[in-house]
Amino acid sequence: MHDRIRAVIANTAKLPVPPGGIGDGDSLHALGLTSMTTVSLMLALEDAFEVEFPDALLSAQTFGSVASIAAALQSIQAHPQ
Amino acid sequence: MTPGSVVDDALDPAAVAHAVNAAAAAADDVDRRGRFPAEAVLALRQGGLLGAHVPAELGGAGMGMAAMADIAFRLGGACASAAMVYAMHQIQVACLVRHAASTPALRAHLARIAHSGFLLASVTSEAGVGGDIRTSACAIEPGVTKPGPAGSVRVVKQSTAISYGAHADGLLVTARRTPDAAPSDQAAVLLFTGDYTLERTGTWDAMGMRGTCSDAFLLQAECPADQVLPVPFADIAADSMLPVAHLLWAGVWLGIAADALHRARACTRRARTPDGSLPPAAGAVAGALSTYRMAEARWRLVLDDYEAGRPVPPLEWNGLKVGVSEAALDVVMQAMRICGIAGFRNDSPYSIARHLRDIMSSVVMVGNERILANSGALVLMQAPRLGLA
Repeated sequence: MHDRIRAVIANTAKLPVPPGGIGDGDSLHALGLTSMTTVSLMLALEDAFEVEFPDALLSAQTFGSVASIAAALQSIQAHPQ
Repeated sequence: MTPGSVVDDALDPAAVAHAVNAAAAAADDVDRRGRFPAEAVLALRQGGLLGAHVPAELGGAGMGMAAMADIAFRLGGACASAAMVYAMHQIQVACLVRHAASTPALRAHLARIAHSGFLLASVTSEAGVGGDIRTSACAIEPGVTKPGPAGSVRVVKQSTAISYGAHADGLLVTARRTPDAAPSDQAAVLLFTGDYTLERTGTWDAMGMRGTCSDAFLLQAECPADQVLPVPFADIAADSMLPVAHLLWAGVWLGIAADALHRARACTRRARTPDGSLPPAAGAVAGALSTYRMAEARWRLVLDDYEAGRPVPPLEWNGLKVGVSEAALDVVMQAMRICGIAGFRNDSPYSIARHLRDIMSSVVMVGNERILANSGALVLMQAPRLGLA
């Protein structure tokens, strides 16, 4: 899952680092993720993983790192609406 | 639950949620068929919410205006017709609570209204008076068939619209105080089923608010004379009917606008662009939210002033009505444009069609042009206080 997330980040977030260089816990915001690119990332993650982020999970924290995105996706998949 | 009471329990948030859910589930059918929102009203009655504004010592819950405005808002987002029925009923109850609790007979009636969860309708409109509720053609006349200890009165009124009149358990009717009184010298009469007959003389088939069932009726009533409210209707209208109506109507309209805004946001959230960028309508959602917040803030401000007992001048009441109704219509219209064809369709989860038809009533129901004309006279006679100081 983490590598799939990295691939989505590479396609959408326009970060100045190669996807392989993003550690699971690295701050995506520190790497240059903006509020605009967060939306693109969120929409692309929804399409890639066929989920919908509930409003409660729409925070900068959720999209703060590969690990936090993975945790959010797992919680959505564990509790489908 | 006390014997014979329709109130299931002390007021709880679940009762409101239940009524809102009941209203939402029936909303499309109520709208399509133009029928009474019976499920919502039943849920309100069973939850003790119809009589909740009546003071506790008379068997109600003493519910305040903010709580009622919140219920009007939440119902408005579910079913505008149910919300408007709730609002119109509470306006009548508020008039009685403020102006009828001074006589033993009317106090007893208020207690009965709270205990039984009666639904009250308003009979202010009348053929031939041009839509001005402060003018009546009909008069309170001496009665003949129900003398009683206090005597009896009779009223015959050709009303142009009695919202949910056929479904109400009681009516609050305006009429000239006596057969000799001037058209503006009015009193209000409280009637219960059994005191009156309604002959339907016209049916309600409207663009929106279809479930309010605002048919035209010929009302013929006779009741004990102590069911006439002791204060002039001029005072009731100015002190209670107008303020409560504007606070609750604003809640209904903002509720409609809020649900349209939710739908517009949800629709945009699920939109996808070819390159995965921000959906272009997102900025428009933020714009609609901004318009909405302006109106909501004004509603809160006047509500706070009213609850705190601070005077709210007529110009500000008029401004609340006109401002919130125009803004709510604007927000719903923006939501329609944001949702596009999904909003235009009746069968889409993002449909704005019912919202738009319902919210249109806000600007024509007591027309904004008429209100602004009245405000025009006020604003020239009194410099409004502007700014923070």
